[in-house]
Amino acid sequence: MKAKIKFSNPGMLTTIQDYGRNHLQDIGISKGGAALPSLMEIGNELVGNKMQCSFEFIFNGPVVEIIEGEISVAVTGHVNFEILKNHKLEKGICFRSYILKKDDQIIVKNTIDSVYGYITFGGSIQLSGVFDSFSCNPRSKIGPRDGAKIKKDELFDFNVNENQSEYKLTREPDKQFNNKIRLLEGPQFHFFEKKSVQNFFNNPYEITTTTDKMGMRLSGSKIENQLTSNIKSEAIIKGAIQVPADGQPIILLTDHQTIGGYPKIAVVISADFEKLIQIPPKSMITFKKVNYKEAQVSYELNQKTIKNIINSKTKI
Amino acid sequence: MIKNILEYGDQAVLLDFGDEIKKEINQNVIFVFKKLKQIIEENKIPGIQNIIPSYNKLVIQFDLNLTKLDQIHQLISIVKNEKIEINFKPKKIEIPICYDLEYGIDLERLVQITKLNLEEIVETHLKTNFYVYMLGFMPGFPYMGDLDPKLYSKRLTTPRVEIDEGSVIIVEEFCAIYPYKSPGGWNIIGKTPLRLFNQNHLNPNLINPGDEVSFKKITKNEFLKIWKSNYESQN
Repeated sequence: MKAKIKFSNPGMLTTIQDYGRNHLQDIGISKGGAALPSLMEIGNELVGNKMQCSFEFIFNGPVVEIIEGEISVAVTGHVNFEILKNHKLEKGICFRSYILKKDDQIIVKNTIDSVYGYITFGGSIQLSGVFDSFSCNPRSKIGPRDGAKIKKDELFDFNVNENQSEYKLTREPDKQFNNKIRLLEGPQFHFFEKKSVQNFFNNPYEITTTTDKMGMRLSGSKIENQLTSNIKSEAIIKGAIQVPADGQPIILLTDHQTIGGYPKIAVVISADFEKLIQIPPKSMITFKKVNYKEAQVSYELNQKTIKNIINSKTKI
Repeated sequence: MIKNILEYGDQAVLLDFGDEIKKEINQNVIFVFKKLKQIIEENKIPGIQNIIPSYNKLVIQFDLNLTKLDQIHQLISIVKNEKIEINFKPKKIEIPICYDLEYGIDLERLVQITKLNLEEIVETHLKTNFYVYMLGFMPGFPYMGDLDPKLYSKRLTTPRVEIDEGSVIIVEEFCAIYPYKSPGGWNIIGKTPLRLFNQNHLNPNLINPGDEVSFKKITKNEFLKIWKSNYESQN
């Protein structure tokens, strides 16, 4: 069975995402992928997909119309949206799937106290992956359709999953975010002056509005460098916190550049990365230093929680 | 060779080979990079997502769901004891370049800066065999050295908003080529009609870390002919 959907409104910045690409950072392509892989995984589970891909939107989401066929769809995140079904408008519920038919619509208004949300359709999208991935990066033009963001009236075809049902979760991910982010010392931790490092951990920083999926620019007490504010460029990883000469930290996010020449004071632990990337600009965040063991245990705990959430899926 | 091993977040490790930019140090990095790739492939070691060389560092990025830090340290200890043999022959690549002033828009400024005339600048650039230290910044962008000190120049005070793909650029001891249109503050000396990166090709990038690159001067007519066949006929 086939279905066709149309983005009658593409939203502010909507892209196709999956887990991204490995083994290419040495030629200048970072992993990329969904900002919140867990929300994407849950979305795919709710529509009966073996992990495939989702549409990732930022702040103001898209309006999607079913043009042909019947297809199940789920919205994951903390999202305000409506469903138009049989010409009747109803308030949408996140973390459940809906089976929609021709002329039905998903009308996403906005994300609530968060940045990213996901729409996932049940079936295989009719696109060819690039380097084994559907992920799109509009800046580096990597991905299907040259990695472009979704355009107005763009159409997508699906081979729909058989025996579709509607599902919900009995256990949902936490909506409450605390803004404390745990960090490990970065490779150039010793470059920074002691007093500044204390300030960094004791004072809140504001997420500025120049933040995007490449990097989160912070504003707060200046971090003084006692060695040099330029190093010979080296590989960057997701969550690394670099400090340029102006002393204001930048946290590298999912679509970070592959190499960089600023010293890195710290790295966000993987367990807190999804929490961090969902905090909207103008919010305040604080940092706490932890050790490797805590980082690893927290990550394993997180992964277990996501599994439990997925396992709580039940038919409606 | 490996002077220090540092944890880099909870899913990466950084190998430190020194602080300088030197071909000998970078060759050690590339040696370990290639050796690691080989060991991982032959033994089907799971969980390594990226190995990323730069001038004097190598970062190994892994997936905590599939492997653990201890196993990464074990892997490193295997290569740490390997005797370094720079026995891999560098791949030699010749890049056609057109130095027409329409493309080499900073050549006349460089005459002022270097006190050489146009022919001398071109000749000095053509004489150099460049070594590719690393790729990065954008897909397929090669950091190549070492430029003849006679051609040294600084970055522009105000970077340009857009530079054409194919532009050959220099700054300090480095030379590079833009695979895509991009903003940038390096000095532009010419343009190549070759495509450095094409995501639709099996081997998307023309140049790899450790390769040797030399330039070959072509005329504007030759340039236009190759450019047309590379950019207009295919995806």
